[in-house]
Amino acid sequence: MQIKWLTFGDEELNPFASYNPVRPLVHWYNSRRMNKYVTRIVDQRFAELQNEHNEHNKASKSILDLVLTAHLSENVASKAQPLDLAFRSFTTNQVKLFLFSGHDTTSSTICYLFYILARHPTVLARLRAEHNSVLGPSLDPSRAAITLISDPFLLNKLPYTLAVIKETLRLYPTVSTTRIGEPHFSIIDADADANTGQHFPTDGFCVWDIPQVIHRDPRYWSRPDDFIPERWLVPAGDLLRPMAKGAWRPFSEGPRNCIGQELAVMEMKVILVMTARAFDVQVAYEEVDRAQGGTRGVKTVYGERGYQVQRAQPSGDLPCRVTQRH
Amino acid sequence: MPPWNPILGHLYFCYKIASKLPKDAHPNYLPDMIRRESPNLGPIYYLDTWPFGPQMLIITSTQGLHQVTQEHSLPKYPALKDFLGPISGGFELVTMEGDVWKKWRGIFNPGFSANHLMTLTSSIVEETERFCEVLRELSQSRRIFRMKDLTDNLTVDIIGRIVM
Repeated sequence: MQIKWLTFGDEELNPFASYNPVRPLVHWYNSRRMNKYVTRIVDQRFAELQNEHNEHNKASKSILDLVLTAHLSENVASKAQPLDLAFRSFTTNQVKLFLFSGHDTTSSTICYLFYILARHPTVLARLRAEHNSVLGPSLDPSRAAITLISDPFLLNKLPYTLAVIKETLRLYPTVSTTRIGEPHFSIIDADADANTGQHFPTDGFCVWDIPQVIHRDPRYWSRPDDFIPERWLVPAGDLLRPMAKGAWRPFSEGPRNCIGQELAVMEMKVILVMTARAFDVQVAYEEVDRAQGGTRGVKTVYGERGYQVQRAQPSGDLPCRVTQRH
Repeated sequence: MPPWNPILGHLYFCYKIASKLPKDAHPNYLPDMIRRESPNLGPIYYLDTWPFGPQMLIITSTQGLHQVTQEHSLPKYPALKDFLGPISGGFELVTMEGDVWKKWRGIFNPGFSANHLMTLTSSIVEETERFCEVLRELSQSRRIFRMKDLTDNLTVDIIGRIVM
């Protein structure tokens, strides 16, 4: 799959990992295939939307429809003509951006949810109890499916599930972002326990907005390396609560924050509701490591074998076994 | 700033930190490891990893990040266009700036509103049912599998239904 070949020069801490000369070819090939597929769908949908008298072609709020209807409303002439090539290419690119950014990071986080639940049985038990209480006791995912479809707002009545998701995102955030500094713009460090008032010019620097380090800083979190969903449920003033605004930032903050964060959290809730009671996941690192003749060198971070690699997923893509409970 | 060498910059410092991590650990661990190893560094510092990386300004305080993401939202780092280029051309919501960004963020926002998300429940549930079928088969076969392979397929299927 194309995504395994991407690099930001930081896929491994080995600095030479990004100099694989085959990568550009892979991008180009896969990009042509993706382009053809997505472009075909774009053309088809544009033709459907142009035929606005057909009830079945009413515009939805899919990314594709939002882009195409914006174009149709701005360009009255295009209502009778095929999609111009420049805008068709632009549309394809927007679709591909959301296809990419809307799946890889969520996928890594779902892996970490399974990793966490496999290693914290009391958390899993409490999660299962919440699902039984809100959706009715059943181990069968199909029953949960029917209940959710008939009442999607039940997803807003799962505080412990949300706490598990937030705590997992705290310990294993999957995104960091970068900005470019500007001339004449400096950051002021006014923290009470640091160099008060020191100015840091930003011009020419890559400014790294990285949640990982804030999420584990004892200035902001008590017992920062421990998985404690309760810290999201205790009342204000409790020591477990985050000690500063903006300390939890897996989706960044401000106007450029993640547009899909509510969607991502909703997906995770649905997946947990439908799988947490139905299946037991057993993480298989020990078995896999043994089969490979043991491990060489450092193989844990903060004492955990499932540390983040590559695109922020667990090491080895989280080898595991699953047992059905129903 | 961490100990800096006029020829090596911070490479040796980063090498010492990185050698405490697995070789394939994600670089996102670096600033946190720096914090643990050098607790007196202060929350904001420069990091010079030339030629392997850009000159960086690392911010590890909420107050510092507030300045660059909320008070004065700095533009995105230009190399993002190179990273996303093979996927989406390099001119989309993540890399746009200024009025163009504002226009398109406004166009896409309704696609992620709370009300609209509720209408997507059945799509997400249906794809998750397929995921459960795969898990059932794996449960019967008792074999070890890579969870990321499964969750990649699941999230691609979900986002495909939502985006197109």
